[in-house]
Amino acid sequence: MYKEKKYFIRINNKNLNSLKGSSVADILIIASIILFVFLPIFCALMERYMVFSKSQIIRDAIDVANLSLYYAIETETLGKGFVSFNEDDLMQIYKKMLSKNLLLDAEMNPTDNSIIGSEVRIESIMIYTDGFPSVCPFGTVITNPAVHSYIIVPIKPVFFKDIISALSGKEYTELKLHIDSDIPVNN
Amino acid sequence: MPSKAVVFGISIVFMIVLFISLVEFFLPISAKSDMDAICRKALLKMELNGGMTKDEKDNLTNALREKGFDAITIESSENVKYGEEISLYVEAYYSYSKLTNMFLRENLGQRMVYSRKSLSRRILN
Repeated sequence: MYKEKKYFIRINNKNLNSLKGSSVADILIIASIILFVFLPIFCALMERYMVFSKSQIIRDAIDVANLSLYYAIETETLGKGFVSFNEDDLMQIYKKMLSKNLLLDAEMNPTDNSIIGSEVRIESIMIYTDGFPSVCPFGTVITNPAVHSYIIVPIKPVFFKDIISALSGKEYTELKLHIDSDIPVNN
Repeated sequence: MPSKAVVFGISIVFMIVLFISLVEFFLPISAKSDMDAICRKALLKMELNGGMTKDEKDNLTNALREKGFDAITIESSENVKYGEEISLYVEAYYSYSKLTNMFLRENLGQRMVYSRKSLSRRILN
């Protein structure tokens, strides 16, 4: 058994020696490194960066929608020293601003040129007007009147579409975005 | 042995060119992020003031120019009352130099757009 192993190594050494100096082997190795290591790593980095950029744009739109809820403040109560909201207006204003900035239709589905892949789901909107300091469901400490929103936004992957859908079972990458925006009540 | 050195040298040059051209893909994306951040600040000011004055338009134009944008078009609301919709539309061209061939650089331009709507918080007495 031991002899066989030694013989095997010797043959391998012999084969390796015969390859020494082969430029074709070098080219193949370098091409393989580029094709199977370099390019996939770059594509993965690019994908992450594009998802990050898209999430920044979506966060910006959600922040604008959060701040727009300022308009749902009932102005009569402000003079009495507290902030209250017209709850009927809340969702209407929120959806209107979000759909305008993310190019969505009334059902929150993407229209042409939208960066969104599929229907946007508004999971929660909470408004903090008193009882400070308070803590939002994601652990952010809230010390001023604020709007908390949690939204799930599907976006289209650029590279590795098939791999992502095979791994996750979904056609889109879902961004779960949580934003807390302070309501500017002193301007 | 000399052939190995030549192959190795060419491979290194090829990999460097590939690396540079791939990294340069990030340039316009990064510029768009900068543009969004600058325009976002301007939109927040618009919310407070109920629109954009000529001075603020000039400031926005200068801020974008500093980041390498040109042919800047700004369309914005003016004197909007509390609760009404304000909009900011900014279109600009980002010019940058990019490796388009093994040893060739070209100046390319990309049109970028920032378009947002919000509600005015300006209270007119």
